[in-house]
Amino acid sequence: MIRLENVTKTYVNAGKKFNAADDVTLEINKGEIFGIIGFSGAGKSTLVRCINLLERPDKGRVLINGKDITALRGAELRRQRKKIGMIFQHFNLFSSRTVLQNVIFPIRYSGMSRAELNSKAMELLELVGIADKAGAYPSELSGGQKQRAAIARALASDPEILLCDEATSALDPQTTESILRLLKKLNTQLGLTIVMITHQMNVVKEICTRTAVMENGKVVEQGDVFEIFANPQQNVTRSFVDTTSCLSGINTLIEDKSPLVQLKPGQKILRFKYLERSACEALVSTISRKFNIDLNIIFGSIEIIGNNPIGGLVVIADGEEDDIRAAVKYLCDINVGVEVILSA
Amino acid sequence: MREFFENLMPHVIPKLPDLWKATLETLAMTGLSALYILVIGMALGILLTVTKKGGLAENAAVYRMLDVIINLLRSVPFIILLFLLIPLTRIISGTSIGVAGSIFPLIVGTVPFFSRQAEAALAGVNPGLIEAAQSMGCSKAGIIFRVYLRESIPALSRGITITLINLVGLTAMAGAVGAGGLGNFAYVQGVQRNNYDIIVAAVIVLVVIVQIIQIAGNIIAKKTER
Repeated sequence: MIRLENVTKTYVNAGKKFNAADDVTLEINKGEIFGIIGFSGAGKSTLVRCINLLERPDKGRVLINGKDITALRGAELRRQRKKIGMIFQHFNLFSSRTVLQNVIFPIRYSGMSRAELNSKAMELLELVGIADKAGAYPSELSGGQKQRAAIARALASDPEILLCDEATSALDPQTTESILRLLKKLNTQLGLTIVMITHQMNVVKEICTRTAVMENGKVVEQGDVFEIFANPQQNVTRSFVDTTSCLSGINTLIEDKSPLVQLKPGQKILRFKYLERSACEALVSTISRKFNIDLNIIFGSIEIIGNNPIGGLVVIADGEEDDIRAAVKYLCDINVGVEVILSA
Repeated sequence: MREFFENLMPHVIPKLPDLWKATLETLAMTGLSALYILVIGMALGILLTVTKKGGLAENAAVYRMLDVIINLLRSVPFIILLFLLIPLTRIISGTSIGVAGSIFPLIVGTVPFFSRQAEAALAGVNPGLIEAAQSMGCSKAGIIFRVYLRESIPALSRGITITLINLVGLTAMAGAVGAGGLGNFAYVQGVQRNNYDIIVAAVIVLVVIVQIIQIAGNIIAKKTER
């Protein structure tokens, strides 16, 4: 549906060239929620603005439904933009207009009558759940309500695509959650294709089907969200995945010589990692029964992504050396990653 | 009461009709020139905003030119500008004296000031709103009228207030060189004849006019602020 081909955008700042987007090729399918994740300055915002040509790429093509939109100018480009909604981190609602007037703004001169405009806007406000705020001014709304109003406005011209530029970054965790649920609902209910820019891995984890990881203007990794989480290839990806898991906390405990990790003879600290989609067996009880070892769980982080558990455990295993070795071998055989972090 | 005034301002009472006429002249000069100043200044303010770096229709040449002309005009003191413009005023207005002769210099003297006020008001509009409007497929004209102007109404009304108050002051100056109005009245009847009370009376009327403009401006700014 959206195809970026070798998109490059260079800025010159104080005589120095800076590649905000560097030869990016991406394909986003119809009806999916696609996440683009990266730290600030990675070029995500530039890339998403290339999709509606708020930024015109220096090189490369942007195809939407097979049509090269970089060839469009003027009125034609504006018509194309109406089919691509966009929401922003800071909402960008018109402060001098009520919520209803904000939603009407993009379709005000589309030939609809006053009554049609009002009923269409009210329908959208109903859909995003703030119909009661139609007459309020943006300054009277909470962050979550502002973003809902912005979503309703972005949907006014019946777009096929919704671009979200850090849409949840200014919101608290509960509100983020509710906005993500709303986006998911719009995705299924309206078949809306959503492109999300974010630096929050949990946003991607929560609703995206596929994701691309950006660093220094380049897409360094892309694919199915589960694959990316289970098997990150790049350092930057790994650091994002780590932000959603507490398993690396064990390293801090060992460094700090916490009493929790002072091992007695025969004990080992192990880290289990679920690598496969099938990892839903009763791991802990199976190995403790089968190999006669005691397992004390000190960290656990298991997320469900696309109906598959992902994550792992950090445990202190207590038992005979041989038994532990056999247990590790068994786990490797059923494709659970095992790492011995510390031996007594 | 009347006696009290007669004692306090002995020369004002017989000149009350003249004071009234002078007040109307001041209002006429202010009002008429304001009409032109607001329209031309607003247009220039918009032009400055859109042609500036990163603007909707970035154009360094146009921006530089406007910038230089505005700065030049703003650095000429109004009293000098009045004399400087006399030949041009004669061609344009047919006369260089009276209310009619004062309008053109007032416009030339105030447009640069107001265009800067307008530019500053428009610069206060959150760039995110412009980007949002562009993402909705809004045209440049649409963005100017529906976003820039609409969103900056409170700031604009403050800029207009300052400009009008300035303008009232300038009409008094124009009056001193023969344009009529309260400035002329205070100068001819007060300063030249050494009637101090006449000067005070003219000042009081000017203070009232300025107060009314300021209060009206504040109310509009407050009402439109969201």
